[in-house]
Formats: sequence, structure tokens, C-alpha cells
Amino acid sequence: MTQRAEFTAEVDQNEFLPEGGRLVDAIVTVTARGTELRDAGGTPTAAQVIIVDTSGSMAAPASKIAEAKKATAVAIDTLRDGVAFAVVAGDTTATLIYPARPGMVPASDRTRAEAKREVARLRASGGTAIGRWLWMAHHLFLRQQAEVKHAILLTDGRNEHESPEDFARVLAACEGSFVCDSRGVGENWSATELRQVASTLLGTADGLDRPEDLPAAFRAMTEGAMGKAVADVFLRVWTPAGATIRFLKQVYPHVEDLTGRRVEVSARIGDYPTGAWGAEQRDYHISVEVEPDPVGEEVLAARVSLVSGGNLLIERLVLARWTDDTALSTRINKQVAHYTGQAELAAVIQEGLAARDAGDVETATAKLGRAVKLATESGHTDTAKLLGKVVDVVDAPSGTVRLKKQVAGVDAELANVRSVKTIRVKKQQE
Amino acid sequence: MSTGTNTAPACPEHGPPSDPGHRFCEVCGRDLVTGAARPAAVPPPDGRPAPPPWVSSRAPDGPCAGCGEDANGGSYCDHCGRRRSAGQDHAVLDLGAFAGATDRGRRRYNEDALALGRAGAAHAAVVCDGVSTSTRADAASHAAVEAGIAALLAALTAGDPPETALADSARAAAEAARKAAVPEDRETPPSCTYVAGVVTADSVTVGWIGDSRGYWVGAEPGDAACLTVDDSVAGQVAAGRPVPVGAPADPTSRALIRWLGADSSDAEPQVVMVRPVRPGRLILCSDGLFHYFAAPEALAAAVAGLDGGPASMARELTRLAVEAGGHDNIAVAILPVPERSSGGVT
Repeated sequence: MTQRAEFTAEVDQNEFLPEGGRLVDAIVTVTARGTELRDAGGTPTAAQVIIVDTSGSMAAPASKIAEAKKATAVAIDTLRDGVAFAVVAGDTTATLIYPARPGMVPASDRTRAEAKREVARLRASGGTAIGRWLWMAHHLFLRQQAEVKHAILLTDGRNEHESPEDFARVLAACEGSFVCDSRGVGENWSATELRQVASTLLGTADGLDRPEDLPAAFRAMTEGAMGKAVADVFLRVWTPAGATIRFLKQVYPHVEDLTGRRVEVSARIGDYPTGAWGAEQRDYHISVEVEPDPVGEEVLAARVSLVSGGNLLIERLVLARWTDDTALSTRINKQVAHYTGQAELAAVIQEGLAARDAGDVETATAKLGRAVKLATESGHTDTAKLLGKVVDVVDAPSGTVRLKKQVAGVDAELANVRSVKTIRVKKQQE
Repeated sequence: MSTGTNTAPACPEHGPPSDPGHRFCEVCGRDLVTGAARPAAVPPPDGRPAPPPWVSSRAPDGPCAGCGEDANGGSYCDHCGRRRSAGQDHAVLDLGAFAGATDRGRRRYNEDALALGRAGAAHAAVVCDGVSTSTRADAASHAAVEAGIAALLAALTAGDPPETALADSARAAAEAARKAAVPEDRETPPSCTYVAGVVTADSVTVGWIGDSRGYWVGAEPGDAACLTVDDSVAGQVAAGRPVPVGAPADPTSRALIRWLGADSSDAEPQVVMVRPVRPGRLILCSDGLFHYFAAPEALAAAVAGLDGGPASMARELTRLAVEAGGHDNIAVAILPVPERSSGGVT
């Protein structure tokens, strides 16, 4: 067997447009399947850098640094034999604590034990400069040939010891070099910063309610990276002459706007990065504006494919057909409507929380009220629950809310960082 | 055909096209701008030596009809994205002794298809009508006529009798139509009807699935008959046959009860054979033609008013249907049966 991967894809759309109609929306669901993903021995090579926040605040309470050390040890134990790895301690600067000499070493019983000995010696002191930590990881990955390059980053604080400009510059330089999953612990991390890291480096971001959750989170992130079967996958989109891609977003499992990430392949073809794939399912929402054609005409509005290392993994078509039958053209596609709502939900939560931080009570109340209404309508109970910690819900169906006077800082950050998480449309609604 | 102010290029063999906007000669498929001849239809490889050649109404590769860009292959233009029609808008297939023609009528796409070929002295034709409620019906109809004619000629060449050859042909056409489906078609995969005919020295045989028809139109007035029974509720009722379970209850329903496509398992044709004693012709056609000339006498009357050989007659029949309204695509094949040398009628 030389088959590298089993990918399937489905397009959900209403291809019928009224006379003069220009907008074509479709949800493309891509599924990569389990055990057939790689033949035995064909597992991609991997490298992982574990970045652990050792700033002074990690000692208050002391359980944070203790759990962080435990979590790092668990992540090290989860590494497959032969996976290149390194451990970086982050404060105002970045320190490579393992291996002793600059570089990365393959995981083995010996190197894992050595690394865990170094992790046990970590002490908390100093500030927080996340960009410098990522920069160190970037340099470590530069010399690695591995197909899957993955970093996990833990922080408990805001990025206070470097300018936002420096942070943005480092992120831009790291783009495409490795995938980074980040987690916030404690009360003082910034959801905006972690989402920025996740967006640019194609990973996930989340907050942990308790330090005790750290080891499980580190294991899950490392297992996820070890389970990646195909690295550097791009969504390739062809659109006809005269058409414009209004947006291309990943909409499940979380909202990620890829529109601006386009890399031109040719005049009508662009690639959008999606990172590495294990056995998983992701949904994408593509919205194309096309030149209207006469009734009866049929046009290919987009050809969406998944490519990796020059291989075409799967290809699907998004169509546009003009009709004078309004029963067809006015039909609303459930998937498109659902994810349009989920993307709006993410946006109003972020905008509402930003307004609240800026002291704009009116905007915050309106936006968060809309968020409560959307979350309730779509059955997004986790988000509704999180919003309930930030606002008092007077009437969920109409979105009537009042801002809470006292909100634990972490609740607002959790609501923010998780705003991009989406749910799938329920089968019976289809 | 008017030449008045027509400055469009003309075919060196067949003159100017019927519409000055046409880029290709509708007779031979020549590109009127570049002058390149249409590439010869190459039948699919077959285990047997030198399968008999055939022709079909499939559109040649060439620039997109929508934007004029030279966009290669595929169902959609690689430049403007418009669906590329599998068939030609208008085509006349002329094999001399027998011929066929198709026209898109007032429809945007021509989803009717036809193919003609010879196996020794036998003349054969296949006509498929794309079901308009299915997606990309032209993909099914063109795949079906080509697979159908190839299988038909191969079987006839191997010495099979016409009725067996027609069963082979229908099965090959059904398989090809089924394979025309792609995931984007969802619940309406490409589908089509099928009618095929074989004329030998002493027999006329017709096989069909669906509601495309075969008519016998004799040279003598009053000698005309519809040889086929439509695979629709109305067709079965009219023929005094039982209506299958699950078919529409309305006895006048013209909805198909048998067709070719990924959503159908039909592959066995109904077959009828006649041994004409007087000269005449077998006419195979889609409903785009017989909608206007349903009664055999009406079709016979239309044919009687036409001059010229089979090609001219086929072209004129499509013109009559377009003039009568052209509500649907039209495809027609005309296979003359000459006077039998053993017959006594002069």
C-alpha cells in the first residue's frame, strides 16, 4: 500500500441563483480518516518544542509552576521514540533547558529521563515576552527536517515585556515554520494574544480553568501532534475569471478566517494554509462573487481541492446555476446559514468584550445580547454558559442582557478565547 | 441560409454555418476560424481487431463557447467556469446511405445525442435524450450513445443477430450513463433515454429504454407505424400493458418509468423486429421531434414533403421541429430500407 491518506469531502450549497444573482456560498466538509491514513512505517517525521512559562507569577499560587512541570513531563513521556524535541523555559528571555547544546534530540528512554530531570529544576522568576519564546522555537525548527513541526506553549500572563509590534513581527516571521497550540492558565493571560498565536501558527488556543488540568492538556496537544498523518496541507481554490473570493473561513471546529492567507499559484488559483491533518473533520465556508449569467446557464464558481507536497488529495466543485424558479433560488442552505450564524457569534462576542473593556456599556450590552441570542438559537450551550458569567441574561430568545458588575478576569478571557469554537448543525435540522 | 451581409467564415466543404456566430461547421465540425478539421472520433479500445468506426454528435475539443478562450477538456471551462456542453448545438451526421441530425431547439444546452455506424452491410444508429430534470444530462446521453454504438457494432461484426446486439448495446449504454455521475450531482445524477436501430438487408430492429421512439415510415402513403411503446405510464396504458407498481397513478402521466443513469438499474431494452416488404425508412427520434409529429401519419406527411437524401431530410426535420416551437432538444436518425431485390413491387 502506498496510499498516503484517505480524504473525503462534501459540498453543501444551494447552487441555484435568481436572475442577476452573484453570491455563491458553500460549506466544504473535509474528513481525513483513521487507521488507513498511513501505511505502517509511513508515519511522518515529527519535531516538538515545549515552551513553558517560568515567569515570577507562575509561583503564585505555587501549584501553577508545580503543575506546569508535571505537564511538561507528561508531554515528554507522550513523545514517540525518535521524535526530535526540546524544552524552552520562558520569562523575559527564552532559555533552552534541554538539550544542553543548541538543537533538538530524538526522544528515547535516556533523553526523556534527562529532559525531565532538567524540567524538575525549573524555578519561577522574571517577566513575560512570548515573542522571544516563539523566536527561540523558530530557530530550533529551522534546522529540523521533520514533516510535522509542533510547539506547545503555556503562559499565565500577558505579553508585558515586549512591544505589540515586536510580538507581531516575530509571529509573522514564524508563520509557516511550525504549528503552535497555546494554553493560558491562571487569571492574567490574554485571550487576544493566544488567539493571535493560534491564528498565525494554525494551532488552537484555550484557557484552563485550573492548574491541575495542565498535564491532561499537554498530553492531548502532544498526542494530537503525534497523530498528524499529513503535514503542510493547503486548500487550493480555483475561481473563474471575473470572480472574487469574498472570504474563505475554516468554520469547524473553530472559526479561522483564511481569506488574507492566500498564496497566489496563478491568476485564478490560490493556496490557503491548513497545517497538518490527523484523523479529523473540518468545515470550510467559501463565499464567491461571480458575474451573473443568463437563466439556464451553469458555471463552476469554485473548484476546491486539498493539496500536500504537490499531491492532490481530494477535489470538489462549487456550482452556480441561474434559474427563474424562485422555489429553487430562495431555498436557504442549512449549513451555510448555520455557519454564517456561528461566525457572527464569534465576532459579536469579541466585539462585545472589547467594548466592555473600553467602557462602552451600550455597545457591549447590544453585542453580548446578540451573542446570547445566537448561542441560544444554535444550541451552543457551552458558549451560552460562558456568556452567563459575563452578563445577566434577562431573556435569552430576544437577547436581552445586563452587563455583570463583577466579573472574574478569567471568565471574560475564556469567553473570548473560546468565542471561535463552533458546533456542527444537528442532523435532524438538515 | 442567407449570405446577405454574412461575413462569418465558411466551411470549404459545407459552406457558411446556419448562424454567423457559429465557430464550427455544423456538418463536419471544422473550426471555421483556424480551419482545423474536427479530430476523428476514436472509439474506445476493444479486444477485437479494428472495431468498425462510428460518428457521434459530441462536440469537438476547442475554445469555450462562453468566453472563446482555448480551455482544455473537463466539464467546465478552465477560464470562465461555464459548463461546456458535451454535445454540439447543431450537428448533421452524414454517412451517405443513412444520416442523423440534432438541434438544441430553444434550450440553452443540447442534451440530446446521437451516433451512427456501419457493421458490414448493416446500418446502425443510437439516439439518447438527456432527462432535463437531471443534472448535466448531456454527460449521460453522449456517454450512452457512444458506448451504445460501439457495443452494437462490435456485436454485429461478431455475427450476433440484431436483437442480441441491441441488448449488448443497451447494457453498455446504461453502464456508461451510470458512470457519468459525479458526487456533485447528489440526488439527480445525469440520466437519459435510449433508442437504437439496426437495418439489415431483410430486417429492421429497434431496442429502447425510455420514451424516445422508432417509427417506420414507408414510401407508400398510409404505410407508417410507431414501432416502440413509451416507457411511461401513458405509453403503457395506451399499449394496453400493466403499469408497474410505484409508477405515478395518473394514467396520462408522461413521467418516465425506465431510463438510464446512476439512479436507475434499467439496462434491458424492449426489442421489436419487423421484416418490411416494401421500401421505406426507420426514423429514430427524441420527443423534441415527435412532440410535433406524434401520430405516424403526421410524421409520414412531414417526411413526404421533404426532398433530398437522408442527411438533408434529417436536417429538415429538426428545422420543422424548431419552427413548430422547438420547446426541447431534437435528435433524429434516418435509416432508409431500399427496395428488396427479391421483392416484386416497382
